[in-house]
Amino acid sequence: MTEPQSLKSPRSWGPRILLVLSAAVVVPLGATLLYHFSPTEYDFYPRCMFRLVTGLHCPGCGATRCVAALLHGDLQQAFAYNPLFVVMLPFLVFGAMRIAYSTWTGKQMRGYRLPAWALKTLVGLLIIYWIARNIDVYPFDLLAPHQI
Amino acid sequence: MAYENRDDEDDDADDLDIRIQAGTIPNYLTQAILVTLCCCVPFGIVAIVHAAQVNTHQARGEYEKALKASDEAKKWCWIGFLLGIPANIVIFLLQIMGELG
Repeated sequence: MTEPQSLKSPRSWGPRILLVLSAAVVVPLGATLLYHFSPTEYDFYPRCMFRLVTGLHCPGCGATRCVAALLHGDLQQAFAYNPLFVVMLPFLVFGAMRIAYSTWTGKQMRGYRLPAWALKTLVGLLIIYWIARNIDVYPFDLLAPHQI
Repeated sequence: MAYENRDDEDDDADDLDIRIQAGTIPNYLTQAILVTLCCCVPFGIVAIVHAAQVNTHQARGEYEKALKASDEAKKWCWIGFLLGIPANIVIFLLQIMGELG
């Protein structure tokens, strides 16, 4: 194995510019689009390719509609589209902040690290969720993206 | 290079050692989850498994293994991302052409 590349701090401004660009342009623009053009009415949004190929739901299916629902403050509808995504969103936001910090400073953020069993549970949960939301029988079909 | 921790036992501590002492080997967990959810490819799952190994090894003090797992996690994130994004763009273009035609 070569020396780990992952620990090098960014030497250039490239990653930082990308970071500022996504925080100042991509995220607000995406949120505005999602807010004003509902993914249920407009289909210019990226589709899930797993669903296009297999016809099955993946763990991320419904996430776009979920975010749109959240932007409108409709938590119940957001849950109906992708419950796991709603639960994971605060963690993802925190993770995005960690990435932003390390991109800007070139250092990893200090702090609490999830124990390994939590991540293994997450992998198990994702796979079970993946299977469960494709079972078209009562309690499980609630996990598939649906409109209330 | 600024050394944050002046009372290092090792005087010839390199960049790697400093990061190990800080307990901050990146595990790319967020990236792995985003690849899993947004690119819809199983590679994200592989990346999450490697991310978990980073935490396992680091908790046991096996820093070399943790660093290797970190690089593996990064690699699988990139594989998922680089395969997922073009595939999504192709599908997007097909979608548009299908609507026009």
